[in-house]
Amino acid sequence: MIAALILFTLILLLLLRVPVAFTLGGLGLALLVIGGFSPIMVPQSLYSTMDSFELLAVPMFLLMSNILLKGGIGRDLFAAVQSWLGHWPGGLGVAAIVSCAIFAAISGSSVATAATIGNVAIHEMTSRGYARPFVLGLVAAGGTLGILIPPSIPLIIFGIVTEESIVQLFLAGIGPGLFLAAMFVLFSILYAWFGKSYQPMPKASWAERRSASILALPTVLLAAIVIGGIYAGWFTPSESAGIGFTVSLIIVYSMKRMTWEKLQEAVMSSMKTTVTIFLIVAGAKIFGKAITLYRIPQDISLLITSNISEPAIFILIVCIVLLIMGFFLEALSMLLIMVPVLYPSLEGMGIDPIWFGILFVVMIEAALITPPVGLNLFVIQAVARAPLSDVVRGVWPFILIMLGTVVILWLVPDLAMFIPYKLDGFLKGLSLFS
Amino acid sequence: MIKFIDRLTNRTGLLSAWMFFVIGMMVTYEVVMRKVFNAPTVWADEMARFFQIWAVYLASAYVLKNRQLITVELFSDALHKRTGRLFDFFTLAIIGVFCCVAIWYGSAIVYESIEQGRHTSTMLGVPKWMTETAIPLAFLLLLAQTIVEVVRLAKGGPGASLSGASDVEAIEE
Repeated sequence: MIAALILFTLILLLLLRVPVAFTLGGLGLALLVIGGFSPIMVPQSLYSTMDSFELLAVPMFLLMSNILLKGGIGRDLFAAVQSWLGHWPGGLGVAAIVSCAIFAAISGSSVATAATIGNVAIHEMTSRGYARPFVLGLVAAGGTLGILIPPSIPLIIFGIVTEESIVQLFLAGIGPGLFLAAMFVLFSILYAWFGKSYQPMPKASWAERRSASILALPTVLLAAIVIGGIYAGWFTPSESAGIGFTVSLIIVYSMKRMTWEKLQEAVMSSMKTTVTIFLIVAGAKIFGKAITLYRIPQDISLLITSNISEPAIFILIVCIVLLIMGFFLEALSMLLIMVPVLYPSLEGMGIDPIWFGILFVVMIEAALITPPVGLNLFVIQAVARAPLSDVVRGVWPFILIMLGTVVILWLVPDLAMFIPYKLDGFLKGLSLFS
Repeated sequence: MIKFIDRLTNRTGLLSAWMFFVIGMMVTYEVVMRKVFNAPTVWADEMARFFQIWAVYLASAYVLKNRQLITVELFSDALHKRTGRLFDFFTLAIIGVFCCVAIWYGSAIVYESIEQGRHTSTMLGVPKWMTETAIPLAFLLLLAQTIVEVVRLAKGGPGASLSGASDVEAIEE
């Protein structure tokens, strides 16, 4: 009963356009006061939330990708990939997706990924006769790879909220991320094969390929160091991000792509994104503390485990709820509201929290491109200066592909779990044979 | 007065942005010292967190002023202008109350820490109040900015409305 009332108030406040951070923080504060708990927990939570070295990974990764962005890395990347894959059927679409996947390995945000690749790919593709809705949908969906392929801001936040290992979460994101990218690529090829409305690109010469690849090489190497370093256990995600930030500075300055103004823009834009996200994280912490004092997550967990015996049904319900919430709520807010409530139920259901985190992020990806509210739709709309209806028309096949991926993730959990848990053993097994 | 607070908010936003930059330098320095020279620092980890607390909350006023707070814009376009303004007042009231709580109880924590001489339990042993002050101070600035926004909203005019957040601004290349 209390839970329903809280939920109702939460939705009401959000619809009244109270910012998510203050909806959560304010509601948490009200619950504390009503329940007779001291509001001193508010400043305490504000303080303890930010007193976290893990959380530092977020501004560091943002700085890194924004600096590379301002250095025009997106263009280099797309040009290089295009020189290799552009002549395939649907080659520009393939190149756009592969560029998104590579950029996703240096960026933890889907918005940045969509905007970067969208900026360079949309014009190129439409001028070659690709249908506009397809192009817009493709880039909007490709951008969401940014949060599945590590680094990923939602996975960092998921790890902090649940106290699960961010490293394991990152590694578990690689398999499904590559799978999803492969499905998008396949769809582009099939689309072009049957559509035939586009002009194929001429095959690039080896000289062109070499010169384009050299420009993109530093970025690809950086991505390899950042993710490889985390995998090998050389650095924690935050340290890796810090190193990535410094190296990205060195890259853009040595390529003479940076000016003081651009650096200032990159630094400011990283700060804005960081602070908007972190205020929501802090608000969610207060809210989370308050509902825990009311024992709501425990009650919900009890309710779930005593009524639902099948994990499959639990997952199905979670996915449906996320799909509905995704229609109007932004991705991170969804995560911060839902995860603390659902997390206690996972153990009783026998569901691996790392696997659940990946499933959650794939659902968030879908939320990013489901109308009416999907951040990536807005981004692509703005980048392409196209009507929203065009983007929406092009995006639905990709939503279906994502939901299909969720099903596959359920049937084949190893898609996510192989790299973090089994790859080491597999490699050792290989070396025994040789 | 309004101009002064606006300017102060912009300056602290800039300051906070460069604080994140400095954090990046600290983290890199620490990793290089530890991995390459095998001489880890005692200060980098703690200072990085110290800066993070200050940077995030100091910039909250900037984020409000520049309409960066994330909201659910489900039917903003369909809203009547006057209703929208009412909603904005309501939001500012909530932010204002929240600020007051953070300032009041935040100061109490700072006061207690000074009185009891609390330190962090690390090698560095930084006095606690040096980070805890961030909360009341930053929310004081946010409160001031909230009041400025209330005045601006009451006066009306372009740019007064809280919505029309610029998702786009963060993306321009």
